[in-house]
Order: sequence, then structure tokens, then C-alpha cells
Amino acid sequence: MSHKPASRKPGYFLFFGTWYPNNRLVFGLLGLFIQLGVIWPLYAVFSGAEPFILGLPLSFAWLTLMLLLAFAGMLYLYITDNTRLDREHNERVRAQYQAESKGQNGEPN
Amino acid sequence: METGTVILIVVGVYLLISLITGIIPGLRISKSVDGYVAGDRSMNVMLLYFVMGASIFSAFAFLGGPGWAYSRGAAAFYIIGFGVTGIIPLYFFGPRAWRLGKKYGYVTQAELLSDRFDSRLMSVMLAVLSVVVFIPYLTIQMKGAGFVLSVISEGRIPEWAGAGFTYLIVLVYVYFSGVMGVGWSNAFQGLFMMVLAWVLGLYLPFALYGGVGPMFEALVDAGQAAMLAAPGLAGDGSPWNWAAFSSAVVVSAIGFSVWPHFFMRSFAAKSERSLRLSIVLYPTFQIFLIPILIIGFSAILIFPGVTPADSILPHVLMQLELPAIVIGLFCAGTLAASMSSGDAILHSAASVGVRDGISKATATPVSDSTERMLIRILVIVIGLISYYFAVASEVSLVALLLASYGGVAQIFPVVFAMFYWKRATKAGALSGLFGGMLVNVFFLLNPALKPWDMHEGVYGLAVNVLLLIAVSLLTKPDDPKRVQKFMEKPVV
Repeated sequence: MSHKPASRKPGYFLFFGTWYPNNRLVFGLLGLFIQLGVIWPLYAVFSGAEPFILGLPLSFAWLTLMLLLAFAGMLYLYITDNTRLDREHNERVRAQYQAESKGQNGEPN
Repeated sequence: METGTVILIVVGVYLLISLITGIIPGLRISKSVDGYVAGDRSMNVMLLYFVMGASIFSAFAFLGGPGWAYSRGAAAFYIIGFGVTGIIPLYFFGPRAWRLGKKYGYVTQAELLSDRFDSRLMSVMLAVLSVVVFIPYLTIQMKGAGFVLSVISEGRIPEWAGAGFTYLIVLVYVYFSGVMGVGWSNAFQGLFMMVLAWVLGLYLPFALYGGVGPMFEALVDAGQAAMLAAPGLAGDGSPWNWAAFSSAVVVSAIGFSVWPHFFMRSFAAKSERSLRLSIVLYPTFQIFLIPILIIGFSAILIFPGVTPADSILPHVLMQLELPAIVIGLFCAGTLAASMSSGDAILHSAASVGVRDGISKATATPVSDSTERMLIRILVIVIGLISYYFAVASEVSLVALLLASYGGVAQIFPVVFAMFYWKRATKAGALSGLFGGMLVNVFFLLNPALKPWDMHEGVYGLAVNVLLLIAVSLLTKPDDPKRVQKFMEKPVV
């Protein structure tokens, strides 16, 4: 996409011509780990009945851990997304306010 | 008081509360299709959370979950496994769908897709696919309800009467209140199920073995360690293989977020943030599958040889000589699981059938009130068809439901392309969806021809994605103005 700025956008990374927020990278890697954790090959490593962890067989405890990790990951995504969107919203409002108080009549960006 | 009377009183009170919580909200929503199908886009986080949670956890989870753990051990972990990542795509799809819905008035998944790909055929195809996969799903819920009432009443309430009476109540509140009735009754039913699952899941191991840890140790000591090691046992008792387990998890995870009744809840949200929050909180609902599976494990040594395995939970409860009130609560809990899925499916099947099927196929514009009436008629028709299958047929419906995930998963690539791939074209999307469904059905009917022992949905998806990409690249790009509308990013 040629109309996108070529320079670095703080807090974002470039992927196939589109800028994505950095938290997507962290979450994507975690998601990949969790997905492999509930199927072969990673789950196969932790698939035994023993040892017991908190009274659960290893296979069951591992799956519970994956479920909790997915929850933690999504909470992280939700909180960082909201922080970013709020910040960008504030920046837009501030930019618009500055543009108006300077008496410029151009489109605020 | 006599045991039977106490049970019936508990169940009766539960059904009455369901009916009231289902009807009251319908008095406040607007008399439009938007109101009936998407609740005037006014659901808050709590309501949406319960609707999403309860519409996936059904009589199958409540009876089939323990049944699988009982007969196939760790294979049952598959039920937890696919939901772990299956919900994640909805975090990205949901807000986009919600914004488009608010701006352009969409209330179903097929409306979005057929607009993006400018194809009425796609809408009709999706409507047919949805109704076809919904009917067995609804039939299972009805069977579950009839089954539980019959076992608990020791046959005094026949299955047809149990299923009929329960679903008459569901029919009444779905008919009058639409999605808001589903929402409020699900909030009540969902809470009820969660509490019951935890109480039973902890009570049974303690009562039978002195704790959850001792229970699993007893299983290992009895030489059942192989059962507790993933991926557990196959249907015939031999060890299941990783290819079948992994592909079943992956296909179900892919299908999970695009189930039409689940996906279209996005449109009912009050705001983008409340939608995202209820999706993020979804795993807290899933944790309730852990005690559900523990119930099944607790029965392996004490009650061997129970058939069918799905009846293990009512079987255990009847053997334990529990107080009548506990049995009554369990009975109501299973009805809750059945009804909370059944109502959502019934409502979605009718909405999708009318909006995306009938009105697109005939291409005649209908007024809002006619459409609302048509949806209500279809609610009754689909209810009756499913009821017929529930009482009259002996088809293995659980097998049909598991297979239907393969069909539902075929919707995922086109939904993904709609939001993320500009270059996807009408021809590409149609051939992908059609080819994927065809291959899926072919291997479903001819499992012996599968090259590897994997879920048939995997083959369908492979063909689907291949066709989508290849045909899209070979055809002229779709109108960029229309495409751009579906690619906009969230701003709030």
C-alpha cells in the first residue's frame, strides 16, 4: 500500500503492507503457543497421566493451564487495545483543538 | 413429602422462572426486526456473556461431556481444547461485524457475506447450510430434555411429553420476545448451570473417593492410566491417535467462532467495548467444563458398564440416594443447558431462514412486520420438525452434530477474507465455500476414502482455501468501494 507512511509508526509494526499494533505480535505468538499446546506436538509432550498437579493428571492440568493462559492473553489484549484506542482518541481531539485554536481551517488529522 | 413431588416442584418452579424471565424483556423492545433479531443492539456485557456462554453449552455438554470422560477418558479433553483458541477470532471479527451492523443495519452473518461478495446465491447457500446444521443440534437438545425428565421420573413422564412440554415453554418466549427473551432466560439458566456443575463436580469425587486427587490416583492404581493420558481412547476402546484428536480440535476451533447463531450475537451488543469484554470473559464460562468432566471420571470405577455412556450423570445421581431437592436441581440444570442452547438455535434458525433464505431466494421486498411474522412462523415450523426427529427417529444425532462442525468450519475462510483480504472475489468466495462443503460431505459419507485418519473438515478446508485464493486471483477484483467498507478498522 503506497499511501501508507514508509517511516516507523511508534507502537506499530508492518506486516504485508499494513501497520498493526505491537500487542498483536505478542498475542499472536502466545496464541500460536496455546494452539500447539492443545494439539500435537506440544500437547503430546505433556499428555501423560502422571505426575499429578493439584490433584489433576498432567494431561488435565496442562489443558487447564492453556485455558487460563488464553484468558490471561485475551485480558492483556483487551486492556492494551483500550489504552491504545483511548490514547489515539485523545491525540485526535488534542490535534483538532490545536488546529482550531490556531485559526487554521484545514482538515484536522 | 414424597421424592417425586419434590423433584417436580423444583422443576416446575424452574420452568416458571424461565418463562417469566423470557417474556418480560420482550415487552420493552421495539416491534421491529432489529428488535426481534438483534435486541435493538442493546445487550450489555453481562447479558451478552451469558448468551454466548449458554448458547454453546448445551444438553450435549451436560450429558455428553461426562459420557465421553466416562467411556473415552482423556478424549473428552477435546471438548475443552477447541474452545480455548476457538473464541479468539471472534475478538477480531465481532467488533468489525458490529460496526457494519450498526451502520448498515445487518443482523445476520449471511447478510454481511452476501453484501461483501455481492451474491444472493451465497446468502441462500448459507441459510440452507445453517438450517441444516441447526436442526440436528436442536433435536439433541429436545432429546436431552425428554430423556432427563423420563429418567428422573422413573418413566412416569414419557420422553415425548417431557421434550414437548419443555420446548413449548421455549417456543412461547422465543415467539414473543426474540433475542432479548433468549438473553434474560440464558442469564438465569447460565448462572444456574455453573453453580450446579461446580457443586456436583466437587461433591461426587469427595463423596465417592474422598477428593479429586484420590479419585484420579484410584484410577491410575486400577490400571486406567492409559485412559487419563491424552488423547485418550477411541470409540471402540483402543487408544485414539494424535492426528484424529488434533484435527478434530482444529476443525472445531475454526468452526466455533463462525457458528451463525454465535456470530450473530455480535450484532446484539450495546457497544464495541462491551462486545469485546464479553468475548474476553468467555473462558471463565468454559472453566465450568472442568467439573463436568470430573463427574464422568468419578463414575468409571464405581459404576462400570453403564450404557449408553451419555446416561452416566443421571445414572449416578439415581444410585446415590441423594436428597430429592438435589436431584430436582440437577434435573432443572440439565433442562437449563438444553433450553438455553435450544432457544438460541431456534431463534437464529428462523431469523436466518427468513432473512437470508426465503426473502433472498424470492427477491421480493417484504415489510418489517411481515418479515417479523414470517420469522415467528418459521420458529414454530423448525420447532415442530426438530420435535418430530426428537421423538420419532433413532438416527445417531450426536454423530451428526460432531459432523456438522466440519460444515460450519467452511464458513471461516470467507469470513476471514471478507474482513482481511481485499483481493477476494465473488467467484473465489462462492467456489471456495461450495468446494469446501462438497469435499467435507464426500469424506463424511465415505470415511474409508480419507487419505489420513483426520477430521473430514480438514480436507474441506484445504480445498476451500485453495479455491478461494486461486479463483480470486484469476478473476477481476471486486468493486474496491464496496470492499473497502468491510475493511475499516475499529476506532473507539
